[in-house]
Amino acid sequence: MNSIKENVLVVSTLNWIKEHKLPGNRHGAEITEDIDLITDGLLDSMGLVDLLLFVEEQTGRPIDLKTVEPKDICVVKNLCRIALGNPIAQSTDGCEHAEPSCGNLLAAGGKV
Amino acid sequence: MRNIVSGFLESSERFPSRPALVVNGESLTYLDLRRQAGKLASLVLRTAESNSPLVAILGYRSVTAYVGILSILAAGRGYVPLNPKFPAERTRRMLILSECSQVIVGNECVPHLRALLEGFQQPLTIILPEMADVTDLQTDFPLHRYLGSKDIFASHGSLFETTVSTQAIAYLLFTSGTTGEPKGVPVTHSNVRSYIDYMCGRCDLNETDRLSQHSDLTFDLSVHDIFVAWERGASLYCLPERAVLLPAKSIRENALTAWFSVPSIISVLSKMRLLEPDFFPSLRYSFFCGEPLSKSYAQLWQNAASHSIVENLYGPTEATIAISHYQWDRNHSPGECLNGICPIGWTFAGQRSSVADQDFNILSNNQAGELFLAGSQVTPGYWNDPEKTGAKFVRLGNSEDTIWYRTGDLVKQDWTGCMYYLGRIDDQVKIRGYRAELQEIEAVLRKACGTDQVVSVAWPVRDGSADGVVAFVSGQKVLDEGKALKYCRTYLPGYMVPHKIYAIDALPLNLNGKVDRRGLVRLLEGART
Repeated sequence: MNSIKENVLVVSTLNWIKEHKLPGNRHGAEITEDIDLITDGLLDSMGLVDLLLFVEEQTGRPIDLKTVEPKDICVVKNLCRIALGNPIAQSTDGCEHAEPSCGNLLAAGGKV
Repeated sequence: MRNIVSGFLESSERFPSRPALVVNGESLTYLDLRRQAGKLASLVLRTAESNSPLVAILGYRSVTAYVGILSILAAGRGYVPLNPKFPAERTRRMLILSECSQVIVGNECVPHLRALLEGFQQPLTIILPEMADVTDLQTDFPLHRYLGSKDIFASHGSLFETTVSTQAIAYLLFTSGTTGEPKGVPVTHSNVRSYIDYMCGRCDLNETDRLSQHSDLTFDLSVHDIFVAWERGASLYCLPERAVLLPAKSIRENALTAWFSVPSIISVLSKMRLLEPDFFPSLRYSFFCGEPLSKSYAQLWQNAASHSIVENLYGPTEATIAISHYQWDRNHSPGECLNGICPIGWTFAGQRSSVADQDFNILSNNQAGELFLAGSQVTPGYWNDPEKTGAKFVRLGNSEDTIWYRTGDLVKQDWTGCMYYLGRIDDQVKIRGYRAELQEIEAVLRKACGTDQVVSVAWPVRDGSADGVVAFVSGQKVLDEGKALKYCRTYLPGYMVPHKIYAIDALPLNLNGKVDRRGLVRLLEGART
């Protein structure tokens, strides 16, 4: 577990999103490591590709998308863990344990 | 004559226990689906309070979305797909324009339903097949009538109407309109049957096949997926929302045998190194439609799906999903591409195409002109709009009895009848496969920015397909971009909302005194380099 590097990666990823993908009607403070970038409407397919390429550039290693679940790369916190090769604990519903944002998503009708 | 659910009914007799639909991890057999849809159809018919031929469906990648569509057709009505990803205001307009008085809603779309009902003044019958208790909605929006799962369970009837007129509307889709209002395209059972019959006659799909369902229901590629699959007794695999962006894993894990999407998806997968040779060994058919298919994308996909037939399909909504096709050939096709773009090929057997000039004179081979289409797949016109219908559904000089649809697409045709797409003759653009009128975007921008001096351009464009739109505004001392974009998001679907609004001193004009869109594109290109 490389927690310091992970924290740095999370911050730089969030900054990149705020700089390159933040719609004019959204505030940077709304963009957190827990939000789902897809269901929240921040990224489309090309935006997701740009984000993945940015994260790969930061870590210097490719993300193996052949094995990664698409739902896991839509949340910055999980994406950064995957990008660094750190495991993300999964429950049977696909949510990370003790992860409040998943619960909010489910309550909102989102599929996790 | 058979209608579009005839194939489903026959498949449910022949293959009752085979999977008809896989969605959200749930698998429904043909028998399951028939029972659920039949019960819901009975409720739809019993609770109809108007003679509207249409019922709306607000569902997103859920069982209710598909059971809803089938039940509406089983009730002898046509379906109007609504999209929870669209702004509520746009959905409200679509609902009003369609004149539907009934809506079937999946639980996943209840937040969107609530936004839609805010200020909605026409009483609706809202059917929520998964909701046991509808009291909250009834309390919050008392104008409307609500029916939940208990009402369906209480219903003893089951219905599958098979005597629907082939001229009845099977579905109504809304496309971008030039006046700022979405434009309805009613597609008849006869139109869709012609398409299904032709595609099923060409492809040897059977009950062991697994077809992708990638597009949203508001995009007519979904009609191909659903009804071609059910016609052949095959399984329909609805991709989950997040897998839509990167579908490679879903294709492999579910061993899909047929794929249908816009070509943009090839670009996405390619960039993420997900198109290795033979990466999709299960695919037998790969269809692409909705925007130009570049030579490089076709080659990449063919290498990744090495056992698959790869086809470029072409067709506007007004000609029912697709009306011409070009089968990719590893050896010959690269040499047949024009400007790096795959030909759109030959018109389906039984359908007709002509290339004509602006005075409707038919042009000879290899002359560039507007593509006109006729035949059993061409729809009857626009919904409740004789003016637009008259402008786009016309007669050509040499065929007075035939109604031709003006596509607005600039093409040329070689001596074999193979067609090559050259661009548009108007301001319509395709944004990742979605059709959009720049004029509609500009109509919203004018209100958003409080000035008439607005222009939008597709940007960036790669291989003939746009990633998005950017806008230019003049005549304002101070532009509040955030406020303007927020306004746009209220009225336009995401793909039509500009990525950026630039304030400039004056809009550049060309020699004819019109706004020089190309000049603006050159500005953007200059800024990029």
